[in-house]
Amino acid sequence: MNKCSLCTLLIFLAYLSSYAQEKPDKKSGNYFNLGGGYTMSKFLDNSFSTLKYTANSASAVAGLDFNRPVHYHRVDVRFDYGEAKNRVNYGVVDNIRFEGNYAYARHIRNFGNDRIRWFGGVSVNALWQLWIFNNFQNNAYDNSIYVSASPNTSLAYDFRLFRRDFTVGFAAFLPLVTFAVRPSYGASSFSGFLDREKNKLVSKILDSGHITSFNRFFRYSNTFSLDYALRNGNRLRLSYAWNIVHYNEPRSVAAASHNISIATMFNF
Amino acid sequence: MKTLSITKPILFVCFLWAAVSCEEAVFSTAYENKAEDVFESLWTTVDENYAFFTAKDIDWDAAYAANKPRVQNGMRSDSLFDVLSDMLAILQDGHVNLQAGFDISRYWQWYLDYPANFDYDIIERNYLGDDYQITGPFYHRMIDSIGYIYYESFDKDVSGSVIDYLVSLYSRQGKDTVIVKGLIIDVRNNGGGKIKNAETIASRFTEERKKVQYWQYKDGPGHNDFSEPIARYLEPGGDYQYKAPVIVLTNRSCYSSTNFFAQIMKSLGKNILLMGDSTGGGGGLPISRELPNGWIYRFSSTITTTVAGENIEFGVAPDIKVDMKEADVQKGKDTILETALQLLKANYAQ
Repeated sequence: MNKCSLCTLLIFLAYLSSYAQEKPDKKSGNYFNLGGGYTMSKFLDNSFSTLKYTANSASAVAGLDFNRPVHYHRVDVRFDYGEAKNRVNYGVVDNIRFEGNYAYARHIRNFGNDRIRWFGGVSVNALWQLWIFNNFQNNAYDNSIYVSASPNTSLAYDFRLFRRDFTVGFAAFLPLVTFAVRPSYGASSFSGFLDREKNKLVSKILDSGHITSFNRFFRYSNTFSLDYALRNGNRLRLSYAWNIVHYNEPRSVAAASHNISIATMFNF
Repeated sequence: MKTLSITKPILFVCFLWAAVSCEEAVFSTAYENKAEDVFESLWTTVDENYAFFTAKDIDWDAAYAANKPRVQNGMRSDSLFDVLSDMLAILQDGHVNLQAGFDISRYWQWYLDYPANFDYDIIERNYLGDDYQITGPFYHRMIDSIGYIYYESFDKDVSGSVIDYLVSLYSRQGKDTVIVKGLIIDVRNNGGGKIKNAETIASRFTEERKKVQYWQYKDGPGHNDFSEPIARYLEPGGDYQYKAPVIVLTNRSCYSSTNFFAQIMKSLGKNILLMGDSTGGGGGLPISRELPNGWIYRFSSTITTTVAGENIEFGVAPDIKVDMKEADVQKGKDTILETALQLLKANYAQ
């Protein structure tokens, strides 16, 4: 399955490079993004509990956009911190989530009478989730790390409203191959960290994880955004991001998050 | 630049709504908040994760067969609690508890079936007196040129500076003019706590890095699915290590981290002796889980063995077995402590 996913990713890359058009895109510029927002998330980790938790978290977002006529590079990070509760008992779980993405995409074509620009590319997506079960003894820390290689796509639609310029955007990625690290079967530590004699961090992490794909791992993320161009070249961005992840190691764990954030995009 | 069409935003919102609606599909759980599901969840999780089925020769399938017929959806919570508690008691493990809002199930036969071998009232009135020192979690004083330290719970944190102070105070090599003949560490009735405290204290009693234990972790759902034994080492800690004779006093109420501490100290060499009764055991690291009805439970998930391969779940035997004598108790004497004091004095005289 993992080989199939790798092949699919390579074919997708080849397809992109052959299909990418050199039609210039007027939307160029570099931006540094900084903002904050709110995240509502939920999770169910059958390795720790049979209860589904819902969390309300504050979030901080940042990013870099390098837009060029026919391609773009984007880096974005998001950090969430909040408390999660379930509907059955009084257990409180600290919810900590960090997501970092790098995306490279090329302009593929326009459609909708050239009103919608379509991009496609690849991305590397890292996700760290930490849930701290405050009522638990010796296994309170539920850590997950996922690093994925994904195809991504995005759409951009420019319009004017009340004589002002706006851009509606949509971006999504779907991991094909993922390096996933989860707590070991019977403890909350990563398996590579159980032996104290191992002292090299990288080898500990590598020993703790698995290369996985759709057979055991599924993640999907999409973002809707509304950009408002300011007269000084900066932009304001209101965005909504939906993210879902499901992994079956050692037992089923699922998490979803809905984030709404507002950021200033500083042109440089 | 084009003017806004309302069609596209509506399509975006429709797509978003459809995608989010699919979300619930991944949050599937095999169990609902019903009595029969609660029972199944508990039995299955323990079946796949508990560490001592083989070591204790427990027939967990028989426990299922005996208790499942007692569970029906809609039954009272306290009745369900009784059934689950009865089933968990089969594990005969002090690290197994079920915690509901109205009660906590427990198994305490590991000490209730044995002599107490400790009376703090005697210690306080006749040995500590009213001029002992309280340093961190320790009560201590000098008794006939022998250091006596009482530590009541490994839940009370031990800092490096506190244990360094005690080692210095009761060391022969200290700057004090008093020659200390040895040290008694009394951990009787210490029901455990944090293992790191056990290691912090023990680290002051070894001059070399020493392999002291093996840990095995569950790595699969089978009763015998364990990782390879992972060696645990004790590193020397602090400014210097205690070299004079040490006697650790234990009884059946020494459990969990105290059990670990006793085993580690016993493994450090002939200059350190365990005296009193066997410890109560508790050699597995307990981990917690939640049931569909919100109750929390815990159970042992690891196996700890000595370097020689002995499982310490069933306790650590003392080097010198001593029981409290009723006649001594009547006189306000602690037989075990008195024996330790005499042994250290005799050892110093030689």
